[in-house]
Amino acid sequence: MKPVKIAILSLTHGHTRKYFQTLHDNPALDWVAVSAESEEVRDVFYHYGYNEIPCYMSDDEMFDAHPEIEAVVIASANSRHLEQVKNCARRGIHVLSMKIPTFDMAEYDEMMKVVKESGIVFQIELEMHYNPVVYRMKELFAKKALGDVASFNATNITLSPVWAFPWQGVPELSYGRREPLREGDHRFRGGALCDHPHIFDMIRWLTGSDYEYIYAEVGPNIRPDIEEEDIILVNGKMKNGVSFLLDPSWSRLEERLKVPAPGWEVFPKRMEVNFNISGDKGVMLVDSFGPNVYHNGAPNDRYTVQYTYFDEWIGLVDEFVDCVRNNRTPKINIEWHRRTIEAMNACYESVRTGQPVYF
Amino acid sequence: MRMEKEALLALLNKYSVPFCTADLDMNIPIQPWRCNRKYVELEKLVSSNTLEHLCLLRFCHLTDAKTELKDLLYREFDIAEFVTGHNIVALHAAFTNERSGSVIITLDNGVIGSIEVGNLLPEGQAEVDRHEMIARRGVGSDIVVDTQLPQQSIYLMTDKPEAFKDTDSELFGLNDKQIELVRAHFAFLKDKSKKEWHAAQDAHLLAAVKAAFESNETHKKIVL
Repeated sequence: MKPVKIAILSLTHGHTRKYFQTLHDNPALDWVAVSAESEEVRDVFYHYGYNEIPCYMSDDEMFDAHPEIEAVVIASANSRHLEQVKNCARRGIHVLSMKIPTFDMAEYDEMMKVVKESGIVFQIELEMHYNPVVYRMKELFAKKALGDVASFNATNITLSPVWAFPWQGVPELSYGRREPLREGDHRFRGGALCDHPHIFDMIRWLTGSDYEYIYAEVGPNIRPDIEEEDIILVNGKMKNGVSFLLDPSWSRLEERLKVPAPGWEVFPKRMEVNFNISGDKGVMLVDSFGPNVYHNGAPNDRYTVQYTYFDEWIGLVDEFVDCVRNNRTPKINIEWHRRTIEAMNACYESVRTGQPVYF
Repeated sequence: MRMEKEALLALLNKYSVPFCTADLDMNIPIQPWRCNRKYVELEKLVSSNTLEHLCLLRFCHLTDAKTELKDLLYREFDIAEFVTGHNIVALHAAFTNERSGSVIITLDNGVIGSIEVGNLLPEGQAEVDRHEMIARRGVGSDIVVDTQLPQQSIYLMTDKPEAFKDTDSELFGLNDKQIELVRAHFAFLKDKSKKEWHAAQDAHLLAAVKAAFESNETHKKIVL
């Protein structure tokens, strides 16, 4: 199969660096170029050692210099996605999108229209679907190992990336506009919730059901100096009667590093996606990122989880290549993902009104 | 071995690695655990100086009777050398009925280590292993603090309790040992330049295992 000629746009998303090795190693890809949003971002990119990859200071400059580019990873702030998707669609370039195409539903629908009319592949990066522990969960669900599921509780809790990826701390760039959380609250939408769509998606995927209603509550920030929410809890029910509790908080503190590096975490495990699922035949406890190796060495002498098994990007990119080359629709496509974004918006609406939101 | 061969073949094809049919036999001694991610990460803790001035290893590996003590020793000796980057130069072993016991090893940089081994677990019981490295700066381990058993990724608590540990999406469905074997042979077939090194390491480890049993018989420390 002819390798897909691929580029990365912007390089400002927190997941950008996860692609470097896969794009470099996967023989189904030919990594052509990257564009960077600033010289600082470019310098950070070259710090990772991929000096043979040309880096341009604008998307158009890159596209004009490399008309052979067939596909891109859009790795930018959420607020830039629509403009970049339109540019790619105009050029017939396939898109691997970050996990949030946009929170603005009018923009989302415009994006859907552009994608449909251009015929490009548009895959959304929900990498949990390619995690081997999630593969096993899907298998156990397919076998109805728990019988009828009663409750689905999940965490997607991390440190806050706002110091390394500042756009995530700016409501206009993360959420798309400056929308107060609720009357009398000095904070705005765009924080921890916006960083954590995975569990909102996974419950739909695993239960095969849709949201009936959703309730969300924000707590006092554990980082009082950021202007978005960092603690948020969500519960509600699916249409099939499954109750759920979701925790998408930034509830693990971090050192305020400008570039992610060893010692970033203050709490030993910087990121977890755990599930606690009950059914009429029993209970399933799942740690999607465990077990690992542990230490309390350099740089901070703190007990630290050294992530040991981390290969989601391989399967994700394999699927993208297959879709591009064989004209298939990705599992997590723009139509499927719309409901997940709606559910996340419903959380903010619930926070605003103080009541559940019905679908 | 059918599953392992199929998995290896799939990787070789996916990554366009040239091979011949005999390569799929996977019968060359290549110390496959060196491709197990947890040992790779432990090695990185040492080589990256996350742990500084390593002093002591505390290893343990317990299985059922299907695994012979000599095979456990071969594996654990090599893991000790892999994660530290140093060779075992002396050892003292004390075994009971060739089913259970311990070895104290000394590495060429002066680091010492204890290796507990045994194959007295009830048949079918999940293996217990632990690899702890103690340094002047920091401790590294593949076991969570304040626990005794290796963790799993999924615990299914039904009338037929089960636990699962899935660590490799490309090799989903294979267990830890199968993944080690496939990954190690895949890495070897990508780069065969270490063939002679692996053979020499095999000879060295076999000599160390033999010395361990000799030490147990003679009650003497053996210098390799």
